[in-house]
Formats: sequence, C-alpha cells, structure tokens
Amino acid sequence: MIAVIWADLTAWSRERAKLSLLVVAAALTVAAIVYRLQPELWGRVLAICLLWTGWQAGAEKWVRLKSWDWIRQERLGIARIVVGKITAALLLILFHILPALPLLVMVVYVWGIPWARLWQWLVFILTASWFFAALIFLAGHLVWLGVKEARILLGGGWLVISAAIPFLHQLNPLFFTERLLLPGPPVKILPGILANLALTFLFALLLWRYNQKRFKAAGRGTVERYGDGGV
Amino acid sequence: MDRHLWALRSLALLFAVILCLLVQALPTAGVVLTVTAGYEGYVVPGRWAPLAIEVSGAMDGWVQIARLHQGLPVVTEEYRCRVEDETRRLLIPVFAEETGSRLEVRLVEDGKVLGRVEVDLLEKVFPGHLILMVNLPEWHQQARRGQAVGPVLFSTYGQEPVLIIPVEFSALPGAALAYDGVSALVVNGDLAALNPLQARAIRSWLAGGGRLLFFPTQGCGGAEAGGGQGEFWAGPAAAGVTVDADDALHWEGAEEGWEIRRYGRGRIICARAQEANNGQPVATADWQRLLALEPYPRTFRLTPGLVFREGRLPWFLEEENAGITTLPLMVLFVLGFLGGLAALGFLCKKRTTLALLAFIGITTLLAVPVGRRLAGNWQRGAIVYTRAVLLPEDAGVLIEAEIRFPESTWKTPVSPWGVTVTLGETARGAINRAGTGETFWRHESPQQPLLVVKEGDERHLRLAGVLPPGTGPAGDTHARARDETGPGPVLPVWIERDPWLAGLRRLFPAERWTVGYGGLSGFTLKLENGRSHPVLWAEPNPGPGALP
Repeated sequence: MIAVIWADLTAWSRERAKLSLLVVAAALTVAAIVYRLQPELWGRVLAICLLWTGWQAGAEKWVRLKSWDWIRQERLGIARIVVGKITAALLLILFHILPALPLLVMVVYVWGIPWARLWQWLVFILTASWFFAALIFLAGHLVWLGVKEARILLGGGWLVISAAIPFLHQLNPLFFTERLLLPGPPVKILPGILANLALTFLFALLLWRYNQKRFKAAGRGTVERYGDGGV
Repeated sequence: MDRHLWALRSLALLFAVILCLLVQALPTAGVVLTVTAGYEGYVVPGRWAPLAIEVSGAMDGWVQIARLHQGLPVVTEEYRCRVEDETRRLLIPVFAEETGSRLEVRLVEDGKVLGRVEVDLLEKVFPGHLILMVNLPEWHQQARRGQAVGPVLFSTYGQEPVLIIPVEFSALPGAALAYDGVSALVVNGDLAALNPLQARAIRSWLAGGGRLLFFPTQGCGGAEAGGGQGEFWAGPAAAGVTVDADDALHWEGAEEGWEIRRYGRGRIICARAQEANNGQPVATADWQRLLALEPYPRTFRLTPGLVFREGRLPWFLEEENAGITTLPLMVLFVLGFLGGLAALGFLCKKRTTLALLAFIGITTLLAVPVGRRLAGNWQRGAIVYTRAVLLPEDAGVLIEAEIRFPESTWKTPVSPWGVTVTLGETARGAINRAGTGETFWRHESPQQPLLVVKEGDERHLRLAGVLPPGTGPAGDTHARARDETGPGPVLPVWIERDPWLAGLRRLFPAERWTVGYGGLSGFTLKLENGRSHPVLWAEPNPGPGALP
C-alpha cells in the first residue's frame, strides 16, 4: 500500500506538482484580492480548488497507465492498490491546502473566526474533496460510458444535485462553506462528514470489487478494453 | 335499572367536571388583551418603539412577550400584571429589527394562557423622521383645516421624509427608550402637564439627542421662571445655560421668533409668545432648520446596535474614505504569490520542496501579526452606539448588558461571530429575567451598582454599570471611579485620550464619570472609541488560568 502511495506521490511531484500548486496559489491570491478576504467567498474558492484537486487525483492525470502497469508487474493485491490510491488522493488534497495556509491564517485573524469552526470547515471540505476524488476514480472505471462523460456526469451531477436539493446541502462544500464561515449558530458537520466518509468507503469498495474482476480477467488474458482502469 | 342509575351517575360526574372547568375559567372570561405598536402603528425600523399593552378585566398574572425565532415563540420578557375591575396599560419599548420583528404578547395566569396577540412591528414602517405633535398649534390647525385627523406625511422637508403624528399628553411614553424612533417632539402648551415619568423620559431623550419644539402659553421667559419647562433646565444636561447676576437664566441662542437651547446632545426650541399666539405659520423650510433634522440614521441614536447580523457580513475594506487603503494589502498578496513562485523553483532549482515548505511556514507565521493588525485597523467588534450611554439623569444611567458568544470567541475580541451587545436603561416595572443577546435586558433595583460584572464565563457575560456613578459601594473591587474633585484610582492613559470621554466631560463638566472596564477575573472589559463608534471589548487576560 505504501509503495502505491509513494508511486503516486512521486509521479505527481515529478509531473504535475508545480502546475497544480501554482494554479491553486494563483486562484487563492486572486480571490483574496477580488473578494477582499471575505471568508465565505474566499473559502468557496479554496473549496473549489480542493474539489479540482480531488478531480485531478481521481482522474490520475499524472500517473495514468504507468502506475497501473507497474502495479500489474508487481502483482499487488487489489485491496492494497485501492486503499493506496485513495490514501494518495487524500494526501494530495492535503498538500494543496499548504499554499492556502498564509491566507487562511490571515482570514481567521482578520475576521476572528473561531479556530474550532475553522477546523470543522477544513475537515469538512477535506472529506468532501476526498469523496469527490473517489467518485471521479470510480467514474473512470465505468464500462458503459466514455471516461470523460462518466466523470462529468457523476462529478458535475453530484455537485448540481447536492446544490439543488436542500437536504443534500450539508454534503455540498460550496453551500456548506457559507454556513460555516458566516456568523450564526453552530452548524452540525458530523452528518456531512460521516456521509462523505461512508460514500468514500463505499466507492472504494466498488473499486475493489470491480478491479478484482478485471485483474482476474487480465490474469486469464481476457482484459476488457473499456473504462480508464488501464489494466 | 342499574344501567339507568349508572348512566345518571356518569352524567352527573361529567357535569361536575365541566362545572369545575367553567369555575376555573370564570376569572378569565372578561379579560381583554389589546396590543398596539409604535405611534399610530408607525414604527421606525432599527429603532425602539413603544408597545402599548392594554389589559381589561380582572386577572392576576403575567404579560409575556415572545419573539418569534425561526417560527417558534421564545419568551424574552415578562411583566407582572394585576388588574382588578379596571384597565391596566403597560407601555414597553421594543426593538424593531430591520429584518423582521414578529412578537407574540401573551396574558398568562397560573400557567394558563388567557389570551395572545401576534404583532408584526414592521407592519407600518416609516424609515424617516417621525415627529410627535401634542396639541396642534393654531396655525397648524388652520393649515390643516378640512383634512382628516391623523398622521400627516411631508415628503419635501429636506432630505428625509417627515411624518407628523398628533398625540395627547397622556399618550406620551414614560420610558426614554420609547422615543428612540422619534426625531422631534412638538408641544403646544405648558410642559407642566407631563407627569414626572414622562418628563424624566423626555429629558433623557433630549440629552441623548432629541429635539423639542414647544409653544408655551406665557412665552419662553415665563417658561424658564417656572412651570413644567423649568425643570428641563435644572439638570446637568442643560449645558450652555447662562446665569446672570440676577440668577435669571438666558437662552443660549436665538433667532427671529425662536429661542434655541442645547440640551445635552439634543436641543430645545421655544417659540416666543407673540409669534406663538399670533398664528404666524412656520415655513416648511424652518422645520428642517429649527429641529436640525439630519439625514437618517444618525450614528448616535439611543439605539444599541448589532454589527453583524446572523448569516451576513459587511463588505470588508470598504472604508476607503476613512484613511484605509486596500493597495498595501493587495501588494502584500501579490508579493506572497511571487515569493511562492520563487520557492517553487523558478528562481532556485535546488531543494524545491524544502524551499517551498520554508516559504509557507514563514508566510503563515507572518500572517498572524498581519491579520491581527488588519483586524485592529478595521475594528470588527460589538458596537455600542453613543447615545445609549449619554443619558445624564440625576441618578445616573444604568447600563445593563448581556453578551453571548455562541462559541468561545473571546480570544479574538474583534470576532463578529455571535457578539451581541445591548444596552439599556432602567424602566420601572420592566424586567427581563432571561435576557439574551438580542434582547433588551433591564434591571429593577433601588441599589444601582457602580460597575459590577455580575457573571460570566467563556460564552456568556452579564454586566451592569452606572454613568455617572454617584457614590459607589465601599470596597467594591469590581469598580473603579474617577472623582474629578477628590482622590481616586488613576485611570489608564488610553481613557484620557478617549475623545468620547472628553466629549462627555465637555458636555457635563460638573459630573463625575466612570468607565466600565476591569473587574471580572480572567477578563478585561474595555469601552473604547472605535473608528466611528464606541466599542465594547471583552478580552481574556493573558496567562494560564485566565478563563474563569
């Protein structure tokens, strides 16, 4: 599992790190200037950046094929591969919070946002982005749709649906950011976090089941050529 | 036969139960609850307005006022109400939230609700100058001949619309806070008709910035010499009053036909006898000038204010005209981004990760003082409007405040999250035992404290203070007083710099002033001058175990 994580992170560092971090830093700087550190607006931009990172991690922009080839050569277990990939996605999302730290601290001090509330918000958008990465990861393995279409349909669809249905607002980081970063009564984030974690676990389970079949098929030499699994 | 007997017994029992219920309900049968808000129903949003509650019929219970919060009524104030064969009238000032104020007034006796009336304070909103007129002058009656009696709306008086509402002397509120939404009071007649409570309330309101225009029956000179008007010049608020060798009081300013005098932050305009009696009308332009009706709202109203409403934040860095410019901040952001670029290896090719981490660490650490400085510059905090504490009555003004923090935010005294400060004055018979952040909290006690922090924890604070102090309780370690004439604890330097206090001393030089700060172990309370408003701060004391 650690080998998978290390492989993913190394590939990201080599192929994509500078561009990815720069995009996030630029977006946050521009947002800070345009929105004048308004916490809920700037926070939304950070949430969007992390969702974008989740998308990138799920789509494996920087490790496509090569990593899977390597995995096949190493004959690693499917469960370890899936857990490693998902964990790597979380670490990548965490790395993308780093450029936001100075501005984040400034926003907190300028507006006097309680640290407890800030941590709640950070944990929430982290879990939401992590779930988003798992969703995109799964979308890449769907055999009955094109890869891009599946990702747009699932990823975009989830954002639209969770924004449109009030009940699901507590899962949508863009909506929930406003509730957490504006003055008001304390907001319960536990249901949202648990739901995000549960969905991430569920998608990891689906990935494991699906890739198990595919790896067995690969072992038999009857590999299906659909999806973006790369096996 | 037995069955018939059983039915009869059951019927008798049923009647007995119904009779008991009826007997219990008898005292409530004739109770009538009538509630009216504002003046002729008109309420100025964001200001206090009188809520008149009239109870007719015998009862012994409570009048409860419940605010509808998220659709559910929450009892915020409770008043004892005992009525025996007559009608009892309560007049309670209530704050009209600009975002909506729905109240429910209940009549409760022995836990039973006898009646309830729902009031929407914003049903008749008038966001301009509300002028109360007692006994219309002759010229005004002539001008309005043929028109129906009722509120008169003038939309051409200066910048703001003016609504004149005729009232009787008896209808004038006895609580100063009820005049908060009133811009001016016009009285045709002798102020001796006011009862002591009304006179006291009007004096308080005038001292805080109210305007009184009156047409005395015997002229201004006669008014000074005696009658009801005389007491308006006797208090410490009558700044600018001059006394000559004959002990005769003189008007501070005058213009043709009018005498004008400052009263604290307010003013009194008196029409000279000949002009008042000869029916000479007042030109509409005169009203604006005489009453000094300024663009609305003024910053020093008698209104406690909230800065940050729930779910909303003001646009940050908008005070360009206050000497704050966003350019340095923007430059700082751009420099930070460029520094990040450099650290990422565009300038340095070796040890990129280490450089990036070091850069992020350093900038994050630097963000703390920068953020604190910005926060200090823009003074995000609980604002207390000046007028709320400028009520120099003889016995002083009691400040009662309750600050509630939904979360423990005291470590950041500029936090807008949930900080709500309300100030109030004493009002006889008006008690709110469970005041919360948005509720006006009052205190009824003959022994007014000098400055006492009653209780507090990291999420809640309740304090009371008096301005001016008079004589405080001996050995009160929670209070510090400054006596201009005698020895006393020395105030910190910042108090001396405070232009707000300096203004107070200029206005009321004979008075001693106490500033509410200090006292609660673990916390320091400061009332200091913000950028444009006084700000009440609650800061934790440094060091371990600061929190109580």
